[in-house]
Amino acid sequence: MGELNLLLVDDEEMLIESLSRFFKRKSFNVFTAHGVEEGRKIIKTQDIQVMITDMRMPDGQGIDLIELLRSIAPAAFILCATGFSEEDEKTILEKGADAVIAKPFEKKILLEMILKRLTQ
Amino acid sequence: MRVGQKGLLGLLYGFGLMLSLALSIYSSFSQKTGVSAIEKLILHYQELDHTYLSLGSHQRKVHLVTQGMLGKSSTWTNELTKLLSDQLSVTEGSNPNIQKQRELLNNDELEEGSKKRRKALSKKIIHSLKEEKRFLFKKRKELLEKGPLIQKDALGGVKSILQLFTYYSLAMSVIFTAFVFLINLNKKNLHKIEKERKKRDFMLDALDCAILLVNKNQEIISYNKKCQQIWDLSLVKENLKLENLFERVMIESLEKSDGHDEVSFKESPLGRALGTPLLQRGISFQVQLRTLGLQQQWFQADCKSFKDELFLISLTNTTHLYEARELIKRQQASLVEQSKMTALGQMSGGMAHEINNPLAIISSEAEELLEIATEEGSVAADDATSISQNIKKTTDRITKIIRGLRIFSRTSGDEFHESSLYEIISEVLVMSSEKFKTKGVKFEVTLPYEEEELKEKDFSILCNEVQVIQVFVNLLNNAYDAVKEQRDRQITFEWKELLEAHLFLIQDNGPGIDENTAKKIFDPFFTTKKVGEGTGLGLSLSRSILEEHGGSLELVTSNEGALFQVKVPKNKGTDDELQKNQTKSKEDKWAS
Repeated sequence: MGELNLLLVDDEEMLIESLSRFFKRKSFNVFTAHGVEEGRKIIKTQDIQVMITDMRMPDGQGIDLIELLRSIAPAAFILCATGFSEEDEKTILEKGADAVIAKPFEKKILLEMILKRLTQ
Repeated sequence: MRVGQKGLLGLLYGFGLMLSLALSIYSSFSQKTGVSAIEKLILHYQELDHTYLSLGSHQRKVHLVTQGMLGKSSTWTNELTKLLSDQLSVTEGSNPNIQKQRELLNNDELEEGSKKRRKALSKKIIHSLKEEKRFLFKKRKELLEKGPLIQKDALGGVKSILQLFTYYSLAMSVIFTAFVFLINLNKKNLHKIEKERKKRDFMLDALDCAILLVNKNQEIISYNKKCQQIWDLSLVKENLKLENLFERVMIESLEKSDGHDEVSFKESPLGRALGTPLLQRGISFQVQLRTLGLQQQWFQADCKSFKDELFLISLTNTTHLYEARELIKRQQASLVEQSKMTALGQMSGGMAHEINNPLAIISSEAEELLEIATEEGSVAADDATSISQNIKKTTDRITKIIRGLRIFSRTSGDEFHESSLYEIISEVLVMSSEKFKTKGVKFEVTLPYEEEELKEKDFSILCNEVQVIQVFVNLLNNAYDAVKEQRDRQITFEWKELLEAHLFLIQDNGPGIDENTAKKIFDPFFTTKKVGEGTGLGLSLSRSILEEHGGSLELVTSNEGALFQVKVPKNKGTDDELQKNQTKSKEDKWAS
């Protein structure tokens, strides 16, 4: 399957750290960004196949990154992890996300979703 | 009845007038001689008769004296002179001879005169006396012949009596008329006064307030009908005193939580004010009385004195006002609660995110630990330390956020407690910064001291903690609403320590507040937000909350954005202590 480029975007340092450790162990090539701007740069420079992004961040909305990645890589698998229960799931999906996951989530489930998609 | 009385009086008056008129007409016809003329005539006649009789006896005397008396001339001349004088006094001027005889008697010649001469004189006198007698006799005869005249005069007397009666009745009728007129006038006045009194009574009775008039000794002199709805005044004994009506009263008390206080009459504002100059200006207070229906009702009592002699007390039933006020109080409390929930509800959106995020970390770290343990059979000390540290840190974070949620479970109530201002502010800041962080708002906080120092300073204030938090949360929510449409969102929060108060400045870089809005911004229900977004109560409630705490909330005019200034007074207790210490040191200074 080769190494997949995975981008993690969240302003929570510890969460990024924990997820990054996990996905690295699962043989992903992990990129991390702590905000929208950082994420934008990585999307533009790297061939990102999987992205897990937070929705609300101090410097912008995760939705912008979803739109950007979808326009660059239509086949990319995009997951949106949000702490907001009332987040408008429909809009997020329309903008190009493949799924919306509510925080807190189980990493295993995340991994299963990614693997399922990649084997299709 | 009134008309009948009037008619009777008129009839009497008319009758009196007619009677006097008739009498005067009759007397004018019958009158010829006056009463005095008749009397004079009768008197004259009697005098003449008497004189005639005495003349007869004197004539005889003179004759005897003149015949037999040759000596002692003085005795008979004296007697004769007296006789003539008496005669003269009766019929003076009637007979010129008498005068002449008198002159003769006075003549000295008579003393020394001869017998012949005396005899001649005596003859003369006798002659003149005879003449006089004849004259008198004639006169008497004439008078006797006038008999019918006397009879006529008797009738004149009757007429005179009638005339007298006429005058009398005329005078009486005038007096009577005047009397009747006066009585009538008086009656009219009395009637007028009575009418006025009835009008006044009606006015007083129609009033919706009870009115009592009390004298110096606090005895009730007068009262209107309304009083009888409060007290059973039909059983009132004389000299009922004011304090019997007010025995024990409930008065409005601002200090007590239930709003009133039971006191005796003497302790009531009225009892205390009676007899003091206070009553001249008038006093007014709220009082609760048990009325006849045994209901406790509230009254507004207004009292005023007139020259410290009369006291007017009016009682207006204000029970409905009290009830309305209670209702407003309850509604206000529920509005405060509602507004609090709105403010905190707005905050809670950010909170959910901020709890879910750390939960995601904990969950992820725990999973990690489990995986390592399962896959490798054991967990390396390094991994265990790092993971558990992360979990601990994140848990602490959640705890802090949850603390902010305490407000949801608490009703604000009325109680004031000693609370740490630092804790209040940090709670507000935790909640707000979570929200602002996720909303991309640059939130700058300036504190008067370092955090550790602030903790130690222990700025405690007597306050309703929930309400104070609500004020700040509300102001920060407003600030967020002002900046959310801006490209660069910025909110600053500054805490300054002043001499007697804490000052908080909350500023945003939003579009600012125009002059018209600024005028109405603290009005209840005024809002610039869309329907459903704001209650329009936030600022007005915040201001009233701060005012209840002795503080203030002001909008400071600013060129950019809005700047709200909150003042919270420093704890009075510590102030008092400070002052006490200051005075003490001053005293010490003086002592030394």
